[in-house]
Amino acid sequence: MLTRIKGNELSLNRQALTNLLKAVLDKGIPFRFRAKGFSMTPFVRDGDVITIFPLSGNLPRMGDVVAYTQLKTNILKVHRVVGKKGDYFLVKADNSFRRNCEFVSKTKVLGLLHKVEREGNDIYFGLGPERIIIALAPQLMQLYLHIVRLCNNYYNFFKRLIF
Amino acid sequence: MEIKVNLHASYSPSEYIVARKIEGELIIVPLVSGIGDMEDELYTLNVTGRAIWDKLDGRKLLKDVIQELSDEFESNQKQIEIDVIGLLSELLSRRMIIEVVS
Repeated sequence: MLTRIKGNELSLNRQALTNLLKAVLDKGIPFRFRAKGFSMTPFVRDGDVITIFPLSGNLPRMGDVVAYTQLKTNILKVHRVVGKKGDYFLVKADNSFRRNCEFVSKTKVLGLLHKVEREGNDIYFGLGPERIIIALAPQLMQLYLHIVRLCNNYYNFFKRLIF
Repeated sequence: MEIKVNLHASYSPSEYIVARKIEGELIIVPLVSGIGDMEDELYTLNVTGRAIWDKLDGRKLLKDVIQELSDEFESNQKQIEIDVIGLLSELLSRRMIIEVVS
C-alpha cells in the first residue's frame, strides 16, 4: 500500500512543487529536488539536483542564489541576488540580460541554494566567494565596455592630432 | 524490532513528514533524515492506503477505524484489520505516524 517512488517518476506542476518546498522549509528542514530550466546555466543546469536550505532568520547576501515565488504568478523561481533596496532583493537569472531583473520582497524569499549535484558530483562553483563577481558581472561588463569606448575615443583623438 | 500496533489507540500523521494531496495522489515526504528529499525519497499510498490514512485523525480508535472501513467497503473485517495493521506497522517503523496518547 505504501510505495516508494523517485522524484522523476512523479510529474509535479510548479505550484505543487512550490507547496511542497514551502511546507518542508517551514519546518526548518532543507529540500532537495531536480531543477528544470536553463535560466541559471552554467552554474545550475537543467536536470541538476539542488538543495534549498531554509533562511532560519538570515538574510540573503549579494550573489546568493535564492528560491522565491513571483508576486503575480506565485511560481517558484531559483535566481541570484544582484542587489538590494530596503526590504526588497533584486534578483536575476544568470543566463539572462541585465535588464531582466525583478524585485522580490524578503517575505517571498523561501530559502537559499546550498548545493548543486550533477551526475553524482557536488558542484559548489558559483556559490562561494566568486558568487559576488558573478552577480556583478553585468555591471563589470558595462564598465569594461565603457572603458574600451573611452580608450577608443582617446586613441582616435590623438591619432587625428598627430596625423 | 517489530512495531506493535494497538487497536485501542488512535494514530495521527507525525511531524516528521510533509503529506500533500497532489492531482489525486497522496505524496508523503519523510523528514526523519533531516532533509526533505523529493528526488530519492518520496512515498505514495494506493487507494486502500489513502482510505486508511484519511481516518488517522488522532481521535478515532484504530478498532473503530477498522469498523468504519469494513462498513464503507463492505469487506470482511478480519481482512481489513490485517491490511490496517500491516500499513500502520510500516508507517510507524518509518516514523510517518505516531500513537496519540489521550
